[in-house]
Amino acid sequence: MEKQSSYMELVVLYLKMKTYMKYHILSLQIALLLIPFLGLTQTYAPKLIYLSQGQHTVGELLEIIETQHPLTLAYSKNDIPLDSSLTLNKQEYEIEELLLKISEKNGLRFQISNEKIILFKAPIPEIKHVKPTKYTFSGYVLFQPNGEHLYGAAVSIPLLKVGTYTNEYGFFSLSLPPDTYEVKVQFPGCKSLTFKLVLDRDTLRNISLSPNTELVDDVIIIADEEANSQTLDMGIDRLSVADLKDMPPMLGEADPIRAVQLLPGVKTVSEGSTGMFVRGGDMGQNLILLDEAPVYNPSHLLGFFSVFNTDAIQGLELYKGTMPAQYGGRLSSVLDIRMKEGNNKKFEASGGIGLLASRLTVEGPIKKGKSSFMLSGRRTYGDVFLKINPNDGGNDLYFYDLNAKVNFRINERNRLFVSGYFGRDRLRYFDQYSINWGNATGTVRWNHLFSKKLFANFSLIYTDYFYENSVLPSDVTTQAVTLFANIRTAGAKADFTFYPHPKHQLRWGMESFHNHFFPGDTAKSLLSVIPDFDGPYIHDLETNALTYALYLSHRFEIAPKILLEYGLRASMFQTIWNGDFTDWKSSPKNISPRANLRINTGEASAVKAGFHRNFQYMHLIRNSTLSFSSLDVWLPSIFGAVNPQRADQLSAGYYRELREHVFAFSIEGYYKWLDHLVDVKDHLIILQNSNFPNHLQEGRGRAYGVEILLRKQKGRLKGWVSYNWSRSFLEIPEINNGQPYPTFFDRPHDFSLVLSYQKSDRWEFAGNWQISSGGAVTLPIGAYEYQGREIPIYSSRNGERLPTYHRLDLSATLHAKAHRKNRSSWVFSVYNAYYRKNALSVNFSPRLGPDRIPVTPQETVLSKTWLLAVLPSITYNFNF
Amino acid sequence: MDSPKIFLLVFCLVCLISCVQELEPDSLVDPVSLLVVDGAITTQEGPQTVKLTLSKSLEALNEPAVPVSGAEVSVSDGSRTWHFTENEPGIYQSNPSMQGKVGETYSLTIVSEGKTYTASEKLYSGGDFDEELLFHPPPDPDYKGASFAIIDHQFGFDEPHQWEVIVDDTAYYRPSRTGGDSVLVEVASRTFTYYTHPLIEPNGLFTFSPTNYYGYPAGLGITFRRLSISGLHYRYLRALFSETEWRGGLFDTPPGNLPTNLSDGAIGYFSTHEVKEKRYRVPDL
Repeated sequence: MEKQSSYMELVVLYLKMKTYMKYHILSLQIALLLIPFLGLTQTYAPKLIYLSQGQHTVGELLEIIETQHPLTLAYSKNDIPLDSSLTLNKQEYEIEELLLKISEKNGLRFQISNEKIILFKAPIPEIKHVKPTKYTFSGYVLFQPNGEHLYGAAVSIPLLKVGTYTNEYGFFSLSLPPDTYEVKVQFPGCKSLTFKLVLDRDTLRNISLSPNTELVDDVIIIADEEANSQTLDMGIDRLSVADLKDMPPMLGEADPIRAVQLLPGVKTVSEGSTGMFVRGGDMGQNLILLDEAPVYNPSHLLGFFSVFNTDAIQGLELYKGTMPAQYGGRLSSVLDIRMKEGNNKKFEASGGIGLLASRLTVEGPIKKGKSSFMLSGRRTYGDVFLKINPNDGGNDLYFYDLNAKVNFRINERNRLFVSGYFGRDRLRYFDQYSINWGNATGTVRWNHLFSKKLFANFSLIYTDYFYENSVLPSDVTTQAVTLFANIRTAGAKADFTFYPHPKHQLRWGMESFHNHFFPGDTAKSLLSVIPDFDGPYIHDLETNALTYALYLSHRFEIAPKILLEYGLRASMFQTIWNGDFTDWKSSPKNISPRANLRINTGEASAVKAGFHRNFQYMHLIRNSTLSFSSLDVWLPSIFGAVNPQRADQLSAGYYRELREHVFAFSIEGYYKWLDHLVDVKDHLIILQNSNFPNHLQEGRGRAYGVEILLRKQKGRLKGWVSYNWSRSFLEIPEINNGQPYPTFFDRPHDFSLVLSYQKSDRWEFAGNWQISSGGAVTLPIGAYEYQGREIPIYSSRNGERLPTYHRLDLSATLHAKAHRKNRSSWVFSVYNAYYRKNALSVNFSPRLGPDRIPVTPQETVLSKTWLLAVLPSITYNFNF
Repeated sequence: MDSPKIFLLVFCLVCLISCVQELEPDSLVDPVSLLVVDGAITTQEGPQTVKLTLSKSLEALNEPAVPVSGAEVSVSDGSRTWHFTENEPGIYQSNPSMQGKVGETYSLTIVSEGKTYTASEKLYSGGDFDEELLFHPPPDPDYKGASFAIIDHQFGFDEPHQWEVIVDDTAYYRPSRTGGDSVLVEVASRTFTYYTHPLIEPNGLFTFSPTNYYGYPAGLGITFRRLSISGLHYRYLRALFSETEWRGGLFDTPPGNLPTNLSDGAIGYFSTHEVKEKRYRVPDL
């Protein structure tokens, strides 16, 4: 009754808020999200005993139990050695744990039934109690050196051939019949751990894995990697921080997105760019998450670096195939990046000093073993050199970012994480113009164990991206014009994982977000010149929108060799434009089914197949065919011509481990059907063009390909070789005369070789080589003369190709001597080692004379533009 | 090392180490041969001109365009029709008395090789000409005169305009590239052309074209001529710049053929302009 009353109160509160706080959508969402959970929070309360550390007699302990909890303790004084003492080294015990200690020490047994505890010597007296057929073994897998949670660690019972993986928060749960088991825990880069478990009751345990980087007799202790053929993963790539740091950095900055670009199925279009295109999808179709918060533009420094500081992250997963039901809202991929939690055992500092930027990360316990923090900052310093000259013309070029995270293990059932990111870029070119842009994200997460089989996570999420582009007022230029654009998202998520049985796992949840779109702001007068202007002005495009999603998935081991995961995601998009809500009936609502199937064909091989449908309610309208997206515009599905995008993907693959899991081989194929994709007409400019939504064209797309990956995951020499054949096309009635044309990121052949070699405990070498088809471009087939200029004439859009792209990057790392307490290293790297002039574009340009000035009279030539020559760098990294 | 040089060094090192390399033209498909129209009606008195040429293959780049002779060219404002005469190969001109009027719509008709091509364009006013030219002290403090800057494309104006700056007699100018040294050169009278734009064009901004400061002796006459541009013609010019001097930067727009107001496969543009002039005398700063 109490629960019902609370529920009704909240419903009333919700209705009041709806009436009086029409625009305080976020509050409503949070209230709505929390309502269903109020009852649940009262269903489980762990019985904890608090006492002082040190010696206690059994009699004292039983008295403490009775004092702190309204329980009935039944025992015979003749059977129980009340004066027997035992030493306790904690101040907080669960009642069962404490009883177990007492029993083990004194050869006793105990049973708990309702609110009654019976303590006795064998034989067991009969009581009215149904002995459980299964107990739950659950807990967290942690990284031993710093106590951070490990995501994706495999916890298995080899004898029964059952197992599970830790979730994003390191939690696992297995329900098994009472018995004694050998448990095996594995995680890439860690020594596998095997231990004996006596499962005679529900058991919650934290398991720590230690790293495997020691050198013994010139042989590297290698990780016992979990075979990919034994997981359900398909179209998922995981990279650890070690993987990222093994790759040659550009200008000393290891970059997660640049590493992801070397994976099969991921492409980029311009040299050195951090833009990525996954399986024929555009950049705006990637959901990039940093601790669950979407990052709308992951670019620093005109796109040459990503916003992700490798020192501040724990690892990443890229979902390019079937996405789990908890992810949605983007068509092509999910890049899930998690920040470090911070070392909860000792204080640490690490960082690096490079040619471009310097980094510093500090982390440590707030309360040892219970809570920790991590603070990481990075900044470039080109602008500092500029300031040396007081008459620097006001030029500026820099970026900085800051990552911070704290986490608290309140108790074994509750954990709290608070994390945030803040970054800014600034570019100012003399007195002519300036561009500023930046992201800010914030996440609060609460992990709660409702029971040992039901794990939940509740998140509050905020993200903001803006850019400001100004033409500066000057006596030699023009009046000042500033364009400001922004997208902001805030919302809440609730996610539940239920482990009823080792062969079943259920996951469900809901999320609700408020999105604020502000595509730009400028004066109407600037547009008065366009006589046929008939669209909304750009500041009228400011829109608020709500996205809702509910999802459910079921992982089910149908037979010992067959595993199925299927799920549904229901979503709705409701817009608020000029104060008017779109009603529920006319708001787009969609169901996205998804399924993954694995069939083991041997001990180390499997075939997998998957299908998913996704919808996307927001569109990244690109200004350019290059990867840099800082000045692109996010637009919601609202303006008639911009309907929600849809993608269906069918994929299948074969996976095999060779030579005791030293090598992992996979081949995956996919076919994607895309609909309501948007492309822009020729020469369309988006910035400050309020009419651009009227020029967007909608059509369909197709993408298909095959990805082959051979990975060597153990030994001194590690890395992978991958080949990807793929095609992607668009078909839009108003573009290219309605004929299908390749996307500008269509590169049919793509080969990558990524290697790292640990020569000794001091020297490490790495290199990667890429070769791929040139990008699809629109090239001139002729020209005409108009007012002294040579104007190109084109045939079809993206009908030709740039020359073949290839590039070699190398690096060497010299570590400090192993016996030194402070582990530092020097990284020497070369980007584009053999100075390949990869074409960025081919077009008409003036012919230049020897002094690089256009010749007179002016002549026009066909020329290619290329970026980034050989870029050597030295970086000093430290860790103490 | 001065600031601009440091800036360029850092900028280049970090991100824009870019170069342009000339390629050998390679005919990808059969060369096209289309009628190209470059014609304008202005409010200035005098013969109005329409130029007719043919498009060319990539191999013929920088070679003079082939003129189209023998065509019938006429322009009408709805009530009157002017027949143009071919005075040079491909150059067709009206009689000297023809003068465009603001608010009128002019229709072009071309008959060539048995085909008829048409275009229509309204002549818009460019508004008041109330902008003042800002002069700066000359680069040489001992010099009696002033200087001003010429930037090929300037952004953020109320309306787009084409500007012509006509400098009388002999003068000297000082082309000063960003970070470069000044050079003093004696030149004869010349005309500069530049454009003002209503929108920020990132591809135009990021061409990193230098600002040229020109110095002139006190008392020199300088004429500023402003040509109005219609909305449709501005779209053509925007596309034209996107395909020529703005092409190749980080913010390239999707390439494509230029829009046109000509029918039946002809390319180019038939434009109309209101012309206003203002004359300045260079002060002694």
